[in-house]
Amino acid sequence: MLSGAPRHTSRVSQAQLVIRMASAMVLALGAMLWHGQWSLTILTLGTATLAVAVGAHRHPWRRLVLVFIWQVVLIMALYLLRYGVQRLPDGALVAYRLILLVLPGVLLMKTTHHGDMARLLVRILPAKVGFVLSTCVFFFPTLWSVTVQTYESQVLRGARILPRELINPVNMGTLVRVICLPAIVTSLALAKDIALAAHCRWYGLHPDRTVWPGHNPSNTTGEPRA
Amino acid sequence: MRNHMFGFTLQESLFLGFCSLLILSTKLLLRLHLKVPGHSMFFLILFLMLAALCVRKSWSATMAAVMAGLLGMFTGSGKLGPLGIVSYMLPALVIDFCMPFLERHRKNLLAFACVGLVAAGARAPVSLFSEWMIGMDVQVLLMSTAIKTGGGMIFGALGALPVPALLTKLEARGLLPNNPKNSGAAS
Repeated sequence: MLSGAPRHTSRVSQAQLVIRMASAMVLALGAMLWHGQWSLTILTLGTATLAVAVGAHRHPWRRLVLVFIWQVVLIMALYLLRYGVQRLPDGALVAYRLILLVLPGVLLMKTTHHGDMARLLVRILPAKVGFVLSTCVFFFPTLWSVTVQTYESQVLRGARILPRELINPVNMGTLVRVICLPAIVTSLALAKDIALAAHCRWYGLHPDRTVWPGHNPSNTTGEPRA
Repeated sequence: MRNHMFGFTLQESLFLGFCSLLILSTKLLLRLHLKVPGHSMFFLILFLMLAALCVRKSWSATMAAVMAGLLGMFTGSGKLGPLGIVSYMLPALVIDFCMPFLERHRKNLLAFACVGLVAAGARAPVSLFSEWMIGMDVQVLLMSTAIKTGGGMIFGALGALPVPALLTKLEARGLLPNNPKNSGAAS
């Protein structure tokens, strides 16, 4: 129930990933900032090229289309309400431009493996921030599997937290009490354990990288220092 | 334990990182299953407030929000790219500024709901800016932002309501220090 759809992603090199990310960012920025005569045509062609390049045709698209429908319907309805039918094409153009703004990022998300993203993240960010983020991404499945087990157990016990029951805001309170509280408790405990384990392996002993087990010049007894 | 980054210990940083991942994953799940406008603010405000009040250091919520924005941007779940980081940061800044107020009114649900409402509303400038930049008509833009932000504010206030009870339970389990001046979850 909580687990998502299987990902159809293939591993790519860091250079390829950087090119894909740069293309997606340029296309999204183009949709936002460029309003020239041929902008929509060129941006559509660019987005289509990106979709082909990342192999978007191998992915299930029904859910993605549903995400866009709400946005388009809202904008068209507001234009219809405010200006009537004569300015509906303007509304359609704005809605289409909004899709072009969002689509490159979504294409990137759907087609890129999380591990590749994490490795790129560690390269770009400062070492300590990268370590924290990559460690969190690495250990998150542990936290998530505990949360999913709690969820399944609570559903079996009769808690009203199935997706269709969460439409009623009253049941959100139950979700917070039986799922979020255990998730926070688990994340506090997991963070404490990981930090302790890292410090026991001399993490943070020097400003540079510390390797464990390895030579520790500041500790002659060979004992790790927290 | 020693300072790891930006004044936070490694344990605090990891806890804030987990909060940011919980924000992203609950947002993705709700987007798939519920399709109710503004619902993602419920868990955003809930986890940002918990991050701020569990760690009890300045800029805790902002730190969690920056991590959520970065991870969202790099995993593609943040639709607006770098603007996505700002859209997470604005509510977090409001929560961080209101931290002393929330600490003083730990049992006051109305105070938490008000802060949740304002924090969720702080996201409006991002929506306004991005839609203005794509050339949307100003009147339609204002109506669209009002609808989206209005829904978000209601869910933000609802998301803030369970926080005092959760904090009480965490304190009862000995997971949080009683003294706010301590270094928080990771001291």
